[in-house]
Amino acid sequence: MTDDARGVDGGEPRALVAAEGVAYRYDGAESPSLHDINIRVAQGSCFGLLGPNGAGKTTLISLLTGLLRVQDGSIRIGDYTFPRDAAAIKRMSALVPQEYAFYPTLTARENLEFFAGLYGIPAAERSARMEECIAVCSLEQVLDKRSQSYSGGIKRRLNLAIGLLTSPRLLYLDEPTVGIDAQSRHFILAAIERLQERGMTIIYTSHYMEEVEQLCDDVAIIDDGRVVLQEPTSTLLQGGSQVYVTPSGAPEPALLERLARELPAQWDGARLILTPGGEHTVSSLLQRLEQHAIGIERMQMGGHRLEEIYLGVTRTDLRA
Amino acid sequence: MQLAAIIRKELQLLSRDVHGLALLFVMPLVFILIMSMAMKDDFDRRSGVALDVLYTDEAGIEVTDAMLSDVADNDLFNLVEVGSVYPGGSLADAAAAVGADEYSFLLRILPGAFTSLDAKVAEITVAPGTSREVTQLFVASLRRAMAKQRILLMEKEIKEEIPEAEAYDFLEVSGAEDDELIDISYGFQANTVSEAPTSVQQNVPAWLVFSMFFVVVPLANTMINERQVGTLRRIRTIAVPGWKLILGKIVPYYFINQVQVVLMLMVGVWVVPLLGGDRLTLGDSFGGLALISSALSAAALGYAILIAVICRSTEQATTLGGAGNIILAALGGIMVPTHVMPEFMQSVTVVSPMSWGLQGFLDIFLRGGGVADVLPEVASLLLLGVIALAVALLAMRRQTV
Repeated sequence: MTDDARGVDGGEPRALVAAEGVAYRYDGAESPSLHDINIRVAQGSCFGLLGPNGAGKTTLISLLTGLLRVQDGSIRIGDYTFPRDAAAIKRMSALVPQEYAFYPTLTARENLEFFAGLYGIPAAERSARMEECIAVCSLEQVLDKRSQSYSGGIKRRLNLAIGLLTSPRLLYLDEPTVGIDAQSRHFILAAIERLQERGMTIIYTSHYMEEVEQLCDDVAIIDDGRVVLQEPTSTLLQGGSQVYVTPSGAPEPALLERLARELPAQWDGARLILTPGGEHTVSSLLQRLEQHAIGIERMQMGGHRLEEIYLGVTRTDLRA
Repeated sequence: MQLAAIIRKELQLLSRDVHGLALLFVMPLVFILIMSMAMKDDFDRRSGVALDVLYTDEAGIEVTDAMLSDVADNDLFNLVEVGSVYPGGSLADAAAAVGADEYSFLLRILPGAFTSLDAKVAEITVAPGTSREVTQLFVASLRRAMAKQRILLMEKEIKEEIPEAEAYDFLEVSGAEDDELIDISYGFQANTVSEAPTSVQQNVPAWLVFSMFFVVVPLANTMINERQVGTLRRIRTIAVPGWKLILGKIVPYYFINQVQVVLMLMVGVWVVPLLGGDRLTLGDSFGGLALISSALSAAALGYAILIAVICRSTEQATTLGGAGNIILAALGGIMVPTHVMPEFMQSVTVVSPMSWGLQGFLDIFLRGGGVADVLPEVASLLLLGVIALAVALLAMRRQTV
């Protein structure tokens, strides 16, 4: 059996999506929105794309879905590349936008029929495809009601159902759970897990880090148009050796700078993150803090959370 | 399959847009009915229906009676005897009424009329508001009636003197009453205002043209909503060619425009007469009618898509599209008929595509025009539609979804 047949590529899982050196500048913009983006999304995986507002996530998704033309670098999806195979790429993928991207005065059935026609699903298959999407997203009860009357949760489910009509190999989910209640969120996350089990490749953006931890196999964090971190989620969340110290009062900036120079210590805006190793044992580090009159209100050992990593690499300052 | 899905969706969206439907169908219907009836009298006066003429016959003989009867046969003049309006037959009162423009003429048949060949027959007082052309028409009509009576009088005298002349019909020989000796044909000249339409001939096509341009509101609202809520973003990630997306908008709204044409013409033909108005005459050229309504639709749809592309919000599109339509209507002779405008304003109407459409309809309804006669208007409208659509497509390509 070849690597191709096994879905592996030189020992690595085969990448369904590979972006290399991708850069993009909007007309009239002073600086590029994306610089030298390199990402690989393994076939059948769920890939979390994170970043603050304005970081470049939407631009990257627009390039991956063919909404924008690649200016620099290359994008390969499956065996296809942009712009030559744009139509084939569009046929194998689907985007579920963050907005309720359907017609509010049409019913769920009418919306599904319209998009099924637009996707070019043959009439003989259409009914079965629609039934499956309706079942996956549990839309049976509201099928013939105008979608403007739906709750936020049902609208999100319809939004997702439309994206599943072609049973795409690659599905882009752009914040699919924003603004809905816990029950609807739980339902949608469970539905996405079922899609993963069926081998669908998913590129997932969200500001809810716990969702990304739960769903995604790999994570890329984009900030200021650059990929600042790309790792398997499991690696990121490995119980690290860090010690998280919440001081009883915020240290002076000068002291923080000094600590950063002298010790393996980083300030994340609320806590000091100490990384013991070598001569710096946990106890020696805590002693040094005491010498600098830093009182300890709370201390936590190891166990990274994605949000901590995210804030660590994207910093905590508000974005425009 | 994709095109059919888009067309079906557009029709579904429009069928649920109550305001859009009202704008496209109820608004022109109401305008046509109200304006056709409200302007009926004014148009009737302008289109020369039966001018009132006061008369008094002081000769009171059989010949003058016959002469007046001949004048009354002309549909343009409605003879009203002075005595029937002013008891006692006061000529002073009659003259005052004509002086106040209540009647177009006062005709006085003099007592000695027809007593000799050189006896004066009549005096005419012309109202200040009566045009020189109408006066000449009335005088010509009176002269013809007078000449006929003179020929009949001479015929009678000659036949009394010369029995051999009995076999001849002097009136027939004179040709005075033989209309077959003169052929009349009406020359066609597009965009002329010399032939004033009736109220229904003006208002039905005018408000029809106006309402056809109002496809801008529902069409722009749909397109802008698609852009704002991310539907267009989603659609553009699907392998559907741009031309299908545009054609999917154009086809259903072209169909809607043609339904508007049929319905509003039916209103003019059947509904307006029921309310006491004139019946709309459609002319003889179905081909010309189809051409001008199709070209109008092309211009209206190009304009609508351009507005949809350049506006950022539905509010902007409704304001810009609606206000634009009203300005085009005011300039184009929709709200104020071209033939009542001063000459300068008549020349300004050519800047409005609504005027091109209206003139196209009037060429067919009013001036007996056919396919060839409406080609200039059709070409102008099609060119406008193509240019507007091209500009819209260029602008659309520059927009980021």
